[in-house]
Amino acid sequence: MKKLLALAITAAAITAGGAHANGSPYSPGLVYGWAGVGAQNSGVRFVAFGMPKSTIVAAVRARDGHVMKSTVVRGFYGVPLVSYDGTAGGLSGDGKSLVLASYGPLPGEAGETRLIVLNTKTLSVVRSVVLRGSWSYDAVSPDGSQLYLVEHIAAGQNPRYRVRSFDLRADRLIPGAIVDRIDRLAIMGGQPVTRATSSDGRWAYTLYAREKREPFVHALDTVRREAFCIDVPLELAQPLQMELRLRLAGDGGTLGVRHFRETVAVIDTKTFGVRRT
Amino acid sequence: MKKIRTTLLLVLVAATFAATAGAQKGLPATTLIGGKGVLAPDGTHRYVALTTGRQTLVSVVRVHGGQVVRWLYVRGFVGVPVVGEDGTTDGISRDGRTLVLAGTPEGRPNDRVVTSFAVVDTASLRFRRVTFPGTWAYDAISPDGTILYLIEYENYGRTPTYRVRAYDLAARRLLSRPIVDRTIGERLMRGWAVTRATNSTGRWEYTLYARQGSAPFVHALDTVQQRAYCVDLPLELRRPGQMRLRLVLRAGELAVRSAGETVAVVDTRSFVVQRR
Repeated sequence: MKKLLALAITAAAITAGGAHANGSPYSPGLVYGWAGVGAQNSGVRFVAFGMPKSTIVAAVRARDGHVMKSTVVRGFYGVPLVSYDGTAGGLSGDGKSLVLASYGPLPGEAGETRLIVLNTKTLSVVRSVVLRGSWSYDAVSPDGSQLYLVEHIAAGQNPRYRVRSFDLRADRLIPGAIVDRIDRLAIMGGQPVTRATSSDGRWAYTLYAREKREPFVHALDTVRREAFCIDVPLELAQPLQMELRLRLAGDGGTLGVRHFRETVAVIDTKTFGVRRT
Repeated sequence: MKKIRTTLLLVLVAATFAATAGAQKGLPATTLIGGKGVLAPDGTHRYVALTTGRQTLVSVVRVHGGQVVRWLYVRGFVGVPVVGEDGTTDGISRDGRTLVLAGTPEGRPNDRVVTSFAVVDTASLRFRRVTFPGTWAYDAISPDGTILYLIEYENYGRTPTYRVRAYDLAARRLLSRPIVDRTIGERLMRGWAVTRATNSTGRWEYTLYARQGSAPFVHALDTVQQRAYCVDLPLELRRPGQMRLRLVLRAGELAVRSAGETVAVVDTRSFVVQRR
């Protein structure tokens, strides 16, 4: 089953030139080609292409489309998507580290998930992480020393998972989950809809949609390994929650929750107080 | 041996900027991996080849933004053709519909060497392979993408000697006669392609060649009428000086420039040369 899934994912990525190639039933998945990740501040985007036995990683200059550097790594990796609106992740706030991920097995099935960390200057692989089970990329600290991962416990309509951290310098998984500092919850549920990241790359704000419940924002401090779950008081069915977007404003002091062009709620990023608008 | 081959491939891949030299010693650089690739005639996209050595990925990159919007896989090694030592790339027809990627000659010295090209329909991203026995390189393509011009090398040592050949892409056949300068009838050409200028319709390709012990010349190729003219440039320059020459096209004339200064002008109708 696992092999079949991997084959299907590989085939999809290889044949679907020009399309997002998401083969994960439990996470936003990976992206091949297209916008990759980066380009906003650095002017460079990093793009991955799945080849039959390897991955080509290219650094593309955004202002003229020149491929400045490329490399081939063994294995099948893609740029991780962190939410279902197609937001990509993997680039550290200092722009020096790029994390690429593979698809793991279905939650509960045997197998392993692989991630690699590349030096963005040389595109050389500086770290390889292999974890048993079903994992996906969540975030990386601004200096590239801490990797945040989602450990998938159950997939389906009501997925369950926990956020874990991996110390890339010590090359070890930190025991225990990143627990919500407000509700002390370790196991989370919901679908990641969209993400906003603070300008320094420290805070990752992810809005999750839930069935029969209001959405919430998971605020992850990637420096201090802390997380805060903030319920957003909106009476919206899950499909409508999937249309919500986040926008940081006021130098990162407020996080606007938007439904198309309308701001429907505002979160104070210091107190995590929520105001409906 | 397999390890060595893999290492070599990885080294090849890592050298993204380098125009990859041909497989035979002395053959001029013929393909580009990564880098600028070749720009589509409308300037909105560029085609960039990336390779694992065994597989080549041809990416369609948006010029403004750098997003890779489409791509295709080609088995084997092919790259964007380099048509001058100054790094000028080509391979796209003026109508933007046909992209030609060049392989490097394959085969061991005592075996039969073959050279392959991938001809890509840019709309569908489907391609077909065209293979020739011997050592060949891309030269040009007609504006409508029907005729492919190739360089067939006879010798690729210190001074390469070669012929320009035409391949009818629609009829899938190599035209038997080489493209020769009608005025002098010389079938075999010598020299190193230094730089190129193309007219606005994509019909005329002006390539400046450097020669050891002779003056440089401009090869003017009419890619529509399948004819060529060799225009000797009365410049007393040694080969390194010839390698620094560049071409600039402006209304009805082709300026030959050295270090920003025009040193000769070729009338593109009469092919009369004036030294400056």
